[in-house]
Amino acid sequence: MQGQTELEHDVSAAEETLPDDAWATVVWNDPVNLMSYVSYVFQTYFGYPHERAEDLMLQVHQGGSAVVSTGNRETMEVHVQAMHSYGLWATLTQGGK
Amino acid sequence: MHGFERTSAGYVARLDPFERDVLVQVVADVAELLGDRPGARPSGSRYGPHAAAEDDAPTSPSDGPRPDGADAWTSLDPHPDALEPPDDTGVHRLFPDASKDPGLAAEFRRLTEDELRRTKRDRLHALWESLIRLPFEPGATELELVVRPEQASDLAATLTDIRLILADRLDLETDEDVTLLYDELADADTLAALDDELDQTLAASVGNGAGTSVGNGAGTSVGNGADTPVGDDELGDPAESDPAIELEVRAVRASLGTVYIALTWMQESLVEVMTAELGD
Repeated sequence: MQGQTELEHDVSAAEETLPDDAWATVVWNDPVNLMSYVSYVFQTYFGYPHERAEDLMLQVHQGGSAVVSTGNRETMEVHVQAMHSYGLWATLTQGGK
Repeated sequence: MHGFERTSAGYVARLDPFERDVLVQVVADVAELLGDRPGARPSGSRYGPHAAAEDDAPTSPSDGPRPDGADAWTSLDPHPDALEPPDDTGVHRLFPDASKDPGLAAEFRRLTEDELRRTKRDRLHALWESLIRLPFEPGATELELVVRPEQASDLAATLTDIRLILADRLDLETDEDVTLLYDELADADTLAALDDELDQTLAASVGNGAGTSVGNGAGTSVGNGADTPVGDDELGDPAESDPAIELEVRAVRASLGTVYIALTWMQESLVEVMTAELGD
């Protein structure tokens, strides 16, 4: 898929800069969620600008997943619950795992 | 069905009474899967144009019981196995494991699933209510579903939930599966042809004295009842050799697929007007 390598590189670069014990919210691709809806959720829930939301959405759609937020565990739990409420498939990870 | 458009009254989609009845049934089925159920099963006659015309003043549930019991929406007990992932694969997708770590996933589920279930059921309930209370002008062929902009996000989310359940029943696991479904149903006559074939096969089997419990026509139930063979789970069942059963499976799949595609289109049009609003 065109552009996929570059996107994956971006993801791993972002993960490398995280502290070992940092928590992250990861959103995963699925065949049901609309690209426009996922982008809308990233814009309205996280407050991301349109371009960043679109970039993250494409990482999910083409690369299979994207780290959409990092921080402490409690905050990431709130984010994952919110993603589940929107119908997005999201998980909590720590230290990139 | 006409997708959502932005108007001075809000976001408006138009659907005919039959589409509304199908949607009411699907919403109720998904709500039941999440542990909620309408007290009275909706039916075409109950929520048809005559019922709506007789009661064109919308009331809230607290205004007292309607004579037809349409607002009797009762909650079941909370999910008894909140620590265990849901057995139903579609429901599991609505409340996915939040971590590969089983301990962390179980803890997250214990803390969040009840609240998520309430949120999703309330949103389904709101859609169900607005659908059964759609005003119908005698002589009109279309109903207008009006959504206030502040309700739109909830509606988009609940359309996602419904589509996730339908996708599970349709075995849509990859983007390719979805493309194949569209190809499968691209022929507008698919449903009608299946219905005709089913009717003929049923007539033949009844004429032969072969008893069958297969209903007539393609149902749209997404419930977990034993009468909804949709996916591959039933393959290998001895009854599978019955051509009527096999046809019923195909007809139900075509019917669910049609609903899935219609809801996808509805959600696309809704998100489009919601997104346009963000740019203002």
